[in-house]
Amino acid sequence: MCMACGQMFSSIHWSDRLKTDEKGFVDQRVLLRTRQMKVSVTNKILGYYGLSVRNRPGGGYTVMNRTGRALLCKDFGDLWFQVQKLCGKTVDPLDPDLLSYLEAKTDQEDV
Amino acid sequence: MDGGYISVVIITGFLGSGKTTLLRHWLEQPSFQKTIVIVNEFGKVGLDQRVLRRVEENTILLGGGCACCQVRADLVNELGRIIDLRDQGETEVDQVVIETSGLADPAPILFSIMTDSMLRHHYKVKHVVSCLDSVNGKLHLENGMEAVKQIAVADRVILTKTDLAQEEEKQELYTRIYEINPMAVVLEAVYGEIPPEKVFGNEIYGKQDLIRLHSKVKSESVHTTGVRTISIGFEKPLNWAAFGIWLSALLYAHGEAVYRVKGILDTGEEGPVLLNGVQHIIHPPQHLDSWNEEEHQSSLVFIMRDIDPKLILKSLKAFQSFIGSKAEIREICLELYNES
Repeated sequence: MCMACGQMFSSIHWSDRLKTDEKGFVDQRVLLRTRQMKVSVTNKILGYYGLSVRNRPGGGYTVMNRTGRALLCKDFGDLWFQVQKLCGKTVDPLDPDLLSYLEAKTDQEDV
Repeated sequence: MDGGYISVVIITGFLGSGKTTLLRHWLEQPSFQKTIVIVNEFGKVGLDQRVLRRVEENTILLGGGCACCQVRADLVNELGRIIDLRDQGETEVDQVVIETSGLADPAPILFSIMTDSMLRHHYKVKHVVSCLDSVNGKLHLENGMEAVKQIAVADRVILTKTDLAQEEEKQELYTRIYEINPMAVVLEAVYGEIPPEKVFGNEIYGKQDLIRLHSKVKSESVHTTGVRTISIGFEKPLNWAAFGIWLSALLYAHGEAVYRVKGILDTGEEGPVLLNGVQHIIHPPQHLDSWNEEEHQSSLVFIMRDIDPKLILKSLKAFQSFIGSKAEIREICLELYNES
């Protein structure tokens, strides 16, 4: 347990590893920026499945579907599993339909 | 001992590939004096009983998990017991060698150690060594996916019994090994006699491994097993957050088919990020302080089964606006899969 925030955690997902200073601390601004970035990118992907994700204060994320059903997840190892539970599909970055959706979305934003 | 951690070395290889002979030689070396060996089966070659601990192979399949997300309960218990013994002052240990049975898959061993809430604070998997018999190796690689996988997840491949093999056979094996795993360091041993320093000289992440990759063999043989190796380059720095999302989703959906991921990534920081993974299991990435005057260049290698490399490239293209850089497949491996 983290003695500063009282949060229970047991591991750091590999994708959450950031550069640390010589004392082993992560720059909090970088941490916040990275989390924000992750949420915004993931939302673009989850749009295809009719879901959305948001940062949970104190750590972790909340995934929601359009009817408001929400599941909590601690990191990106867990997130894809919870998404699968919510929408019944596995997020597959090799799925041609998802890729066309993302490309179309990027084109729209470019215009 | 490495920063308070006990190093773990996993030795895989088929029955009769010389694992125990190799180990017996190593156990006589000064650097192996505080080593405990865990085996699942006793081979013909006897080892010193004092260092040996035998456990019944016992695998727990986790609900919803794939083949690599299994917990090797036998190892978890045994490794826990070793910590207890050390803390009680009954044994001295700075290294544990796990000698797997011939057909065992090394991925669940990595998974068990890296995800167990206790073990992960005490143990660090340093190396996966795979022994391959020079005489029968070709046959094993042709007939069994297990042998191919053992080569794919290894950092070091040791060709044993090289005195019994013809030079041509050996060269063919080298080519085959590099096709499956261009990142592997391949060494030869006769009667298991190879100094451990020679095998474990470099760190698991050795940057030079990846650089050497680009000058490796170009082969004309066909992959019969469906295992492919691709090397992907990126022209601009990557966004680490977006890349993490892409790779974690890819491994969630296809982790069983991805045997290996290894990469050196330019994320726009002062130094590169080193990535190393086996199936779903990614070692904690290292964010280095500097590039040491090397060219800032990202390079990512996948060893995978039954996934079309063009699909990976297509996916990276669709994710390009998030990841921040265009991806390209480097030529060395293009030749490999053009042939297959």
